[in-house]
Amino acid sequence: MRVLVVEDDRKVADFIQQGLRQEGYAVDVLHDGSGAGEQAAAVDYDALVLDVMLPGRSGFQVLRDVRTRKPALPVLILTAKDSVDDRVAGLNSGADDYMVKPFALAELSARLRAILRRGAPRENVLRLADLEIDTVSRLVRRGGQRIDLKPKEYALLEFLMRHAGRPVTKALIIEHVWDIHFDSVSNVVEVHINSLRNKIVKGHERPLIKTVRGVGYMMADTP
Amino acid sequence: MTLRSRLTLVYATVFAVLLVVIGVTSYKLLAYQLEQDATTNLLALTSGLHGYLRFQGGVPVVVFNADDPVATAFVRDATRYYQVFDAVTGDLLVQSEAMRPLGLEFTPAEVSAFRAQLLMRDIDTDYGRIRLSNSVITPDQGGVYLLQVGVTLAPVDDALGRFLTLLFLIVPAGLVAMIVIGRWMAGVALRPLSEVAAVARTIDVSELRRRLPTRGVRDELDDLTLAFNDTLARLEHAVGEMRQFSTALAHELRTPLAALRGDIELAMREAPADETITRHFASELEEIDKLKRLIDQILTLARAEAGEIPVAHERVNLGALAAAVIDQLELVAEARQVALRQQLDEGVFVPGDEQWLTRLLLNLLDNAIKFTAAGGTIMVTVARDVSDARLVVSDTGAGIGADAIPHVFDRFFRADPARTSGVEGVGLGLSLVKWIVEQHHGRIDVASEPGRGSTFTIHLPRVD
Repeated sequence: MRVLVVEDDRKVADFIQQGLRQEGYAVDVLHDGSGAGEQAAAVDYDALVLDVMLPGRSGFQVLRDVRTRKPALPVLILTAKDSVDDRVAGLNSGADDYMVKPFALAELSARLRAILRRGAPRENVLRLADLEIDTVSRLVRRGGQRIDLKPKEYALLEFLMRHAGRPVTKALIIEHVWDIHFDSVSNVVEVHINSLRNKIVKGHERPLIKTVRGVGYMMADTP
Repeated sequence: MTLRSRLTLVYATVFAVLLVVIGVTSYKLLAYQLEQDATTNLLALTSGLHGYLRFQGGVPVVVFNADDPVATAFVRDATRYYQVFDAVTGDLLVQSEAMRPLGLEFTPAEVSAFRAQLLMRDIDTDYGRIRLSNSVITPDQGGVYLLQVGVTLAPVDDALGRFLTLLFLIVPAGLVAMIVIGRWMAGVALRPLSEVAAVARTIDVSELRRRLPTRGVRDELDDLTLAFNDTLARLEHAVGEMRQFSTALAHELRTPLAALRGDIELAMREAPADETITRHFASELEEIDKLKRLIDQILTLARAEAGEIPVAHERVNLGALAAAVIDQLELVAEARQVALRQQLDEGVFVPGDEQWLTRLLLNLLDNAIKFTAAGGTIMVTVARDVSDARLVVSDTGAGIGADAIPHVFDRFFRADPARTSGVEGVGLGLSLVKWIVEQHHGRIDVASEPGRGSTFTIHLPRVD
């Protein structure tokens, strides 16, 4: 997977590059938007990570330029502003997703995975160790034993399972599991993780749901 | 005292003084003129009568040609009030018919006094004032006589009296009329001012683009309006710069935070599995996330108050909305062992913005959960009042002191740090709640007792 990162802040560009490289991506970085269109067209990138506040040329202009050359290229926008107008403008001009700075690397890679996977068939049954969930019938089993979950607990579990093996941030969880933005109610995710743990982990040897401090949560079949 | 009353008072005072001055002056002038006329008339009569007076054997006789109508009329006039004394003895020789009832018989001493000083005298009689002229006649046949001719001053006094009465009627009536007219004039003059004030009052910080209308007549009021508009323009410019500043600030803060966060995350990935270091890093990441939330909230509130965030006014089922929010928070309350109760009328609709109303309820419930200890209860009520919808969130939590209640909606306000030290948040939640209530044309009241709990009551306009 090859990703083009257009970001004028060198430090931010550096950690994105390093972080994504560690996850196995090939990463090219541009520090201004002037050559981004040509670069995106010349190389067969799988995704573009684009800062909208670039010196000289706005990210939205770059985005339009890229879109005329490569209509299907997945684009993730980074912004230091978060006004509603900016979000709408970003998504209207053809971005697939956006992220407000500062963000967790885990969130960047999760969103990148999501836009890269877009259109790919979704698995109906997800498994991790002896935990199995059927996303059609919404049935959850551990070691063959059926577990009853409340709707929000189930949605949380399915989201974690779809990202199994990789950490997901609280912000991502809230965005995908709740239809309300809980940014001020800080512990709504913790509470649901706890109740999920009570139902899924209690009485079993392997915890499966791990807390990644400073980042979020991860489902993994490791001790 | 209003400007209108003051203006009216000034008008009335000036007019009253003017009326009195004019009244007194015209009275004096009239009196002087009338007296002057009377004197002139008397002098003419006196000197005329001298020409018609003859003394036949020491007896004065008026001699005139009866065929001459002018002479006849003059003599009749001149002899209406006249009498002749022998100036030596003081004897009254002749007295006209009209003079008789006036009782103007003088003693020889008085007659000689008249003779010594030949002046006019005004004498009060039962028939009004009379002005007498004194003149001496010394005929060729010998003897010295004192002639007294009079004119009555009653018509003069009558005229002056009537004029005075008129003045006493006209001055107060004029004054009353002036107060009424003055008040009306002041009202007319000040009405555009009130209109300008009414428009100016409706302009708040989110509407600085508005200007007051001028009437295009280039008068003092237009001057004032233009000056006010200038101030608005400067204010708009300054606020615009502040908004740009907050946007720039957001960018300038968020980008370094992003770099910082990324570096720490990378370091965490690369660091040896050292528990202590990992814990420090994780704690720093949490602080950065807190900073991010703080920046988000400040910007949201700043933008909201600047009117940059649109608020929809759709038909929202307040009861159903509350039920949905409570549903999402049930586990959170349960985890803190707080009972979350509800009494919702799901037939109550308000014109509003579903997202902002959700945020409102969320912030209130978040607050209630934070400040209520295990074992406490939170009650959410949505009810239909006569004309509005009522949303009540009450808890059995820590409560708010009476001195803190007026400040709970202030930005960054946190009641009693000792009681809230373990609670996350920066004190912006309730500021946003208040803004949302205002955007929905509602009102919010707080009742609280420390140790007993708080009740937030919101009234919103209702639709059917």
